[in-house]
Amino acid sequence: MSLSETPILATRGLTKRFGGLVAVSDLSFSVSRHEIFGVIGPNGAGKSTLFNLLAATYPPSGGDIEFDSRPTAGMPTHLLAQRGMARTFQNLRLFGDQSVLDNVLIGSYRHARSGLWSGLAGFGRATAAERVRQEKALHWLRFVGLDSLAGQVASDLSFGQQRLLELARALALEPVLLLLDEPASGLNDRETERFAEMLRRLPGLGVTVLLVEHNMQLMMSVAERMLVMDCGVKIAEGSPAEIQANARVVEVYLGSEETA
Amino acid sequence: MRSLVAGRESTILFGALVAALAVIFVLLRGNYLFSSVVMAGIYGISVLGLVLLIGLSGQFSLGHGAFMGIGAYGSAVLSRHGVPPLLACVAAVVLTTAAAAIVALPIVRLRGHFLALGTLALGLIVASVLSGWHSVTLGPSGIPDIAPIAIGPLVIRGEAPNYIFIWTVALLCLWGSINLWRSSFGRAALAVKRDEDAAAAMGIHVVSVKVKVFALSAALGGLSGALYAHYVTFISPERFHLNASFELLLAALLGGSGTPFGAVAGALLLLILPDLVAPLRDYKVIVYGVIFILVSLYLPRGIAGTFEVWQRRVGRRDSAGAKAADSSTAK
Repeated sequence: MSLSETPILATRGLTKRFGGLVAVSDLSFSVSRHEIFGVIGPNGAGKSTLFNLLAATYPPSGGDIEFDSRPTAGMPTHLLAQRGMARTFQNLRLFGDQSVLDNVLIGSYRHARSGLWSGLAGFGRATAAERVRQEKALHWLRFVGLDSLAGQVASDLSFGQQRLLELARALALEPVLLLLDEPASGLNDRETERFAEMLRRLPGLGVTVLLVEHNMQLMMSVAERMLVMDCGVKIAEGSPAEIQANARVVEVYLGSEETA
Repeated sequence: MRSLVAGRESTILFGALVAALAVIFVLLRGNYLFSSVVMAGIYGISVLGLVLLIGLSGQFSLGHGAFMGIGAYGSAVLSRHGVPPLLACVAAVVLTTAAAAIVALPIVRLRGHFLALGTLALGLIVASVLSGWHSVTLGPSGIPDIAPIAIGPLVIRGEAPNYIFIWTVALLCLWGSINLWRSSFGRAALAVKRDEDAAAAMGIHVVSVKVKVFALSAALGGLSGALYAHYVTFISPERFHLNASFELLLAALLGGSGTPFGAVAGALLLLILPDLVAPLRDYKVIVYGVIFILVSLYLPRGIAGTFEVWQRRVGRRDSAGAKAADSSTAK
C-alpha cells in the first residue's frame, strides 16, 4: 500500500466509559489523506468525547487509534502536535494577552524550536529563520483574512475573528491532520460561509480535516464523507448524499431535530 | 501591541538604564546610598529570576531565598577551601541549577497553591540545612572573611569596583532575559503560562518549559547569592531565610513581572526605600506588609507593568487621534 492510500487516522473498537456511562462504544472508522471528514450526531451522541479521544485529551477505555500509521496510545499531546496533528478548541483557547501575530507564531513552534540558550543570547530574532517564520505567520493570517490585525491583542478581537485566529494558529503548525471542534458555533451565516470556503481550500494544501460540527448546512457543504453517531455508536458512514438518504439518520438525527 | 519587551522600546529603556547607572556612579560615589545601589544590583539578579518564573511561565516561588542561600554558601565554602572565588561562583551557580532541576521535576507539576507550598517547604529545608550542617556551613554563626572575587590579577574590592562589576553582571542577565522574552522559547513559555493545554496542543512540552524556566530562575538566584557572599564577605543562614524569600517576592510584585525591567525597579525600590526613610528600617516588616497589600490592590501589574499599560493607552489614543484627523481631512 502506498503512503497516500494508508489512512491518516484510523480507530478500531474505540470505547470510552465514564463510570457507568458509555460515551463512545466500539467505534471503528478511518479518515483518508486529503479529505474533509465530518462527525455529526445529536446532542449527547459522543462527538465531543470522540474528539477528545482523538486529540489525546482523554485516554480511551478500550480499542485503539492510529495516527499516520502509528498508535497514539500513551502519546502526550505535545508529541502528537509535533507529529503534525493540530486542533482547535470548542471554547476558544487563544493566548489572549498576546498579539494576534504571536498567537500564530506559537502555532509554528514545532518548526521553530529554538532553545533556552539561543533565546538568552538573542539568536533567533535577527536570523533568517525567524524572518521566514514571521512571513509564514503573516501568510496564515492573510489566509484567514486577519493580516491587518496582526499587531492587536488577541482578546480584543471579535468572537468570529477569534475563531479565525484559532484556525490560523492551528494551520501555522502546518499539520497533516487538523481536528476542528465545532468551529462554526457562534458564527453568523456570512462568517460560516467564509469559513466553509477556507476549509475547502485545505485539502489542496495537504491538510486532512476532521470536523465535528453541529451546523448541518456547513457540514453538508464541505464534508466529502461523514460519520453519524448516536448514543456513542456509529449509525452511518458515507457521502453527504448517502447520509441524507439514510433512513436511520433521518429518524435519529434529522427527525429528532425537527421535533425539538 | 506596544510592549516594553517587544520592540525598540526595550532597547531604549535598556540604554536609559545604563545611562542612569553611569550618572549614579558619578554623583553618588561616596554617598551612603551607593552601597544600597550595589546591593540592589545583587538582589536585582535574584528578583529577575523570580520575574522570569512568574512572568514567563506563570509559576510562583515562596522559597527563592533558598537558591540565593545555596549560591552564597556554595561559593563561600568552595573559596574557603582554596577554590578561586570566580571559579567558586561559577561552580555555585552550576550547583544551584542542578539542585533546582532536581526539585523542579516534582515541583513544577504542582499548580497554584500547591506550587507555592512546595517552594515554601524548599525554603524551609534549605534554611535548616544551612544552619544545621555545621561541619560545612559553620552553623548559625555564619562564614566570615570570604575572599573577594578576582578576575586575573584584578581583585574586586571596595564599593566602586563592586558597583561596576556587579551591575555589569546584572545588566548582562537583564539583556539575556529581554532576549529570552522575545525568543521563540519565550513565546512558548508565555503560552504555557496562559493555557497549558492549548500550549501542549501547539507541540510545546509544558513540563520541560517549566523545568527550564524554574532552573534558570534558580541559577539567577544562585548567582545573586554568590555575588552577595563575595561582596559582603560574610554570610549567615538567616540572610536566606523566609524573610529573604518574602522580600524578593515583594520586589518582583512591586516592580512588576510583566517585563524583566520590573526586577530592576523592584530591587532598587526595595533596597533604597529603607535608606531614604530612616524610620522605615525599624518597622521594615510592617512597612513591607503594607506595601504588599497596597501593591496587590492598586498596582497588580507592578510599576513596570503599570507604566506599560499607561504607555499603550497613550499610544492607542495617538493612533485614534490620527485616524480621526485622517477621516476629517478626507471629508
